[in-house]
Amino acid sequence: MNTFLQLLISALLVSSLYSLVAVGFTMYVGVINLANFSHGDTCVLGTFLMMPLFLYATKAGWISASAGLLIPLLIILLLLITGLWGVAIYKVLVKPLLAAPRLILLLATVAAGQVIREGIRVIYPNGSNPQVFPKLLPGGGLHLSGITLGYDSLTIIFLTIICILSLNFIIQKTKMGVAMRAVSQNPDVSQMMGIDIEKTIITVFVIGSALAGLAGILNGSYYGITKFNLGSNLGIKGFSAAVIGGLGDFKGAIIGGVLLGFIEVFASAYIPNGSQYQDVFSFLAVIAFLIFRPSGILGEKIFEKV
Amino acid sequence: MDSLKVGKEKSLFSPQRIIGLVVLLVVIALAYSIVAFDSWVITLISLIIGAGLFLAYSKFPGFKSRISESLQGDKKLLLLIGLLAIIAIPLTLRTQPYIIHVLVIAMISMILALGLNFQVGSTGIPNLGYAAFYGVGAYTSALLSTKFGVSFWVSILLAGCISALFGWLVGLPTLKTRSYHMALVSIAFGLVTYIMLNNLAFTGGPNGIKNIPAPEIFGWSLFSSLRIFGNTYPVQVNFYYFVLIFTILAFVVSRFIFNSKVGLFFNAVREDEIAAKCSGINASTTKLLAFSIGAFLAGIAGSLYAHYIGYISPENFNMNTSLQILGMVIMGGMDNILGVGIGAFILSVAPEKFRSLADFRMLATGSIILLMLMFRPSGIIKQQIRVYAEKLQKIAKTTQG
Repeated sequence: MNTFLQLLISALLVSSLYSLVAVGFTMYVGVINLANFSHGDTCVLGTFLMMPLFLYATKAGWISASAGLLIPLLIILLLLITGLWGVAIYKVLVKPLLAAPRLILLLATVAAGQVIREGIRVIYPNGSNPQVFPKLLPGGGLHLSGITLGYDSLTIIFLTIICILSLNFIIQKTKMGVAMRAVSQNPDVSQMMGIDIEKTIITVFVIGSALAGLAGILNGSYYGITKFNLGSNLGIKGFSAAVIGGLGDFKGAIIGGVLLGFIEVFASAYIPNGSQYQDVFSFLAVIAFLIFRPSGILGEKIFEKV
Repeated sequence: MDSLKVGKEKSLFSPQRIIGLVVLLVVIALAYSIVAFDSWVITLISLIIGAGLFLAYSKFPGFKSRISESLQGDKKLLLLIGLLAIIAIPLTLRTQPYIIHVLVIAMISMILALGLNFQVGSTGIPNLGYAAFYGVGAYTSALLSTKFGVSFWVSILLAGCISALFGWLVGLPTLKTRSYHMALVSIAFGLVTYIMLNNLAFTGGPNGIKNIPAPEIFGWSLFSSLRIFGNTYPVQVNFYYFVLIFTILAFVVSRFIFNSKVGLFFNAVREDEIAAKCSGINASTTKLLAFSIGAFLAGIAGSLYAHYIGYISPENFNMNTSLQILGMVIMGGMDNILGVGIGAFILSVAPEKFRSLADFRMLATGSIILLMLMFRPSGIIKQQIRVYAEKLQKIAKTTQG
């Protein structure tokens, strides 16, 4: 029973990280029908931007002085930077290629991911090797009748829930959220209704990239380690989660992330030798979904129109 | 009609033919100087000269039409001379086996790029896990010949077929879905294959498979050096000619498929799947066919690689390899067989010349793909416009006669 509960917590943790990545993915698909394969590498870019920031802050003596306040500030600063990075990706890469065939845009994002990944490896000192990531999250944990609830995993789950709830509020209640939903349904008509499409898309890119950066630093600080090529795996998992939930559907992405996290954690725990094959299980799940329900759990059936 | 007559009465050294010969010689000289010297400066200069000439060629319409006309007119003669040059090149490099090795790898890359071109170029399906098919072929062939003692000729065929089967299977889940699903499935397949090769016992895990025997032709192993006129040629020369035959076959088959109805179906599905379906094309079969053919070529290339190097490990077939091959296709020109060959040649030879910058190799590949897609998505050589007028004329002539 205790192992089960422990696994449950760790599944929730993995689910949170996947959901954060998947949300960005699904928003891009929803709004401009773009599968952004550089999304996972944006997460890793976040971690590699965080490390020098943290180092600088420690050297300047800010961290030791008032640790409690500064780390959240650092994280917010990082979210702003990765958000700006999202704008850059849109302006430089996506916008000039929007008129081109979708295949070109897709391949361009794949190449951009590789450029980010290899750029980090080449530019960062000793970048080919795994890097120690600073502990941003509180250590220690609650001990409840045999199981340990680490404060770090609790913080990650809690932060994810806050992000998702506030994003849900933005999408459902604010004007910008209405604009996003309108653009995802029909860009032409929403433009006619006076929606600034460009602004909407940029907002989506800011939110998506910032969430990716958050997922990256949470991931890095939980495992205490980061590497230049972690992003391809994280990105593919996020995309898989988005596909399972139904591409373009915000809630679906979260459901997909949770499902994927649970499959991964429980399969690697209960299937012999499972931890070696944990990625295989999640990919099998995606392929099963693509065969039997290609539109995902919440997605509507796609009807192609001539 | 007039032009046909002129073509027949052309003298032995008409200006047209001389232009064609000069162009061919320049191309051969450039390719040779890119490859043959152990100095990255010469490679860089030749690449720049080549790029400059090519820009001049494509910028000035008069120049372009003149050259393409003379190339078309003497196609067979020029092809023959080009082939002779390709056959002669390794004989001049007798003392530099490494350069011949680079050329062998370049030819294997060409086969790979031709295969991927069917999927990404002709049919427009993103395949980001292509190296997995390459790996399946290499491992199939290696396992068959090391564990079961199967001869090379059987194992290369089986490698191609099993790889093609995998291609068909990977294509299946994506028939109902969109292009980005395909991208996801192919990445997933690539990663799963990589994980499996690393973890399964019978594939040797991360250590891979060693001591893969060289191919034998009528009992003569390709690992024995040739002696001609008192000169001993390194074993790489044997493999050069051996792989050359497969490469030429791959080019001929690709060209045949491109010009056939199937090639047209591929293009139709890429341009507009619904319209293709309405015209009576079975889109699912077409896509699966593109997958199987591409994977078949990858399997053949994998088998050649395994038997040439004699040692394979999962690291040869990871995501980076997939992106490398994708870069060749995009750089050369999607859906253009000649272009893809050129892209494969440049992207497999240049890194060997710039070995001091090996750390930047993947960054450079990524940047090249990105820049090509942004500024010249058609690649070095644009895809050809299918011309049916000549064929129709021929048919009209035969029916009249």
